[in-house]
Amino acid sequence: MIFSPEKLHTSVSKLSWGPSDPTLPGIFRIDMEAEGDLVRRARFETGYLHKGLEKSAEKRNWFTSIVPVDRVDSESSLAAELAFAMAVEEICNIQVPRRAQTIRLILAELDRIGSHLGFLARLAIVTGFETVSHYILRERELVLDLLELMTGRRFNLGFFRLGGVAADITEGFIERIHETTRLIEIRLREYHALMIENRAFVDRLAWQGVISPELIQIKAITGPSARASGNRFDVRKVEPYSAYEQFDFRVPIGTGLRGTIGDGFDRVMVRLEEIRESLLLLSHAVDAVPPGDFLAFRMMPDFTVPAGEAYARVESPRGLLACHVVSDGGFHPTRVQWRTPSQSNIEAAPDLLAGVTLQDVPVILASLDLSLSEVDR
Amino acid sequence: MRPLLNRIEAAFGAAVQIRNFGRSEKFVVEAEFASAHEIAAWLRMEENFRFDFLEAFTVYEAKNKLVLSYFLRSHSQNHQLVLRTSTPVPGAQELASVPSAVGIWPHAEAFETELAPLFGIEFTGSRGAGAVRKNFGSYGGFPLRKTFEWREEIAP
Repeated sequence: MIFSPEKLHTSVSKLSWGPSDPTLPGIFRIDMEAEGDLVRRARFETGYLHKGLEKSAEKRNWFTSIVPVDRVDSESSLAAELAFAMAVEEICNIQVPRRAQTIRLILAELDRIGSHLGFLARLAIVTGFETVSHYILRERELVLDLLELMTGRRFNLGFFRLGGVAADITEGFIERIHETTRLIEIRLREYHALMIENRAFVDRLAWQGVISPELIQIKAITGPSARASGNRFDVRKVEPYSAYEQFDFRVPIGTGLRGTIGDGFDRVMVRLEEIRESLLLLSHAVDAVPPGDFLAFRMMPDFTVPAGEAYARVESPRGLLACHVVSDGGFHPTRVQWRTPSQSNIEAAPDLLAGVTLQDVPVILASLDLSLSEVDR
Repeated sequence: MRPLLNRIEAAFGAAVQIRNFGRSEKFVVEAEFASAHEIAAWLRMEENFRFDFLEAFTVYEAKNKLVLSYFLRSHSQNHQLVLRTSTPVPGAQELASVPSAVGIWPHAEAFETELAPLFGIEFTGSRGAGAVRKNFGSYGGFPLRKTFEWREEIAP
């Protein structure tokens, strides 16, 4: 709720949060000017955990270059793996087998569901719904179990290879996908009752942190946060890749269900709907995996990439993620540069905080689903 | 898209060269450094292009030059294009001077504030520090340049 500052009769105070604060979505600092408990102005400072991934990519050979790629965002590492693999495959003119493309799609959608469930769990904690967050994490465990069954890992999967994936579909994987998608679909109704229909939850998010179409344009916001404001841009639809063109799915947008279009509540609703769409997509994709190879060729440690460059983009769980790869024909990449959704989306956050109460700051930040790992890559 | 690109050649003549971007069917407009900013502003406003979305701004060093690439998208015209220019790499402790694109695409700020300290680039005409600053500490140089020497305390 926004109060009139004239009635508070308070002086302006300066506050500094972070860089390490449990209410923030990552390691960064916010310097705020507040009048009473109303935020007047906010400035962010990032870079505290900069990993130097782009530089370290230049020091690795092509064979091991997939390793730092995962660290762009450990929670949804497959999006970065996919963008990097697609870029290098374009330079090398590698044709990825259709079976491998479908496996990539299945894993990317599992990754999206896992990331969105993580978002909901974090949001449940900052809005005071800690019990619900445990329920959500229970379902995310099922998704991580599936990723582990397929890749052997739960985070930093390192499963995509140039020309395909590291292994074929594991025995029992498809049955487990059907079982899990059915279960999560049921549990989504449970979240609906516990959160979406709960006025205490709605009041923390409706009308809060409204992202306008103008702000989307100025800050180049992408992903569910932009779609919640009515922007339909989704790379999977605009420029389909990795077998997405073979499947029909809906791109949910914000409707202003409880407040106005583009508010924090819409960002929750869009992600919930995206989980539903991903579940449907998954259940169709696992039944349509074509026969054939899962890998076009086996890469050796002395692998080189011909001189050239490519720019590949994917729809990560947080938005448009792109990778520009340049090769001079040697054993190492000349340059690997990332365009991450959180890098752009965080730019909108200071604008959204102006005029809100201090207690709403963590909620608005959580509703943006920022990954500081992507920002400080 | 190719016939449309002839308009760029007609408008800027020898200051631009157009070719395919890598193996893709997309195009890159290579512009002389002195004209690049003017071409960028033209691509943003020209009614046949209206490149309203700076999707990414990347920099890499090759052949002793800093190569700057603007990955553009037009939502209204449904076009994509890469605008590219390059400038010589200055001395190890010197800054390269590049006109800021913030006046054309406000979102360029996100990329410029990050690339400035890592490549040693001064983006001239920028409004200065925006609401999201970068604090990378001090590397004693510009780590993404090829001449940057790794020391023990910052070795990868």
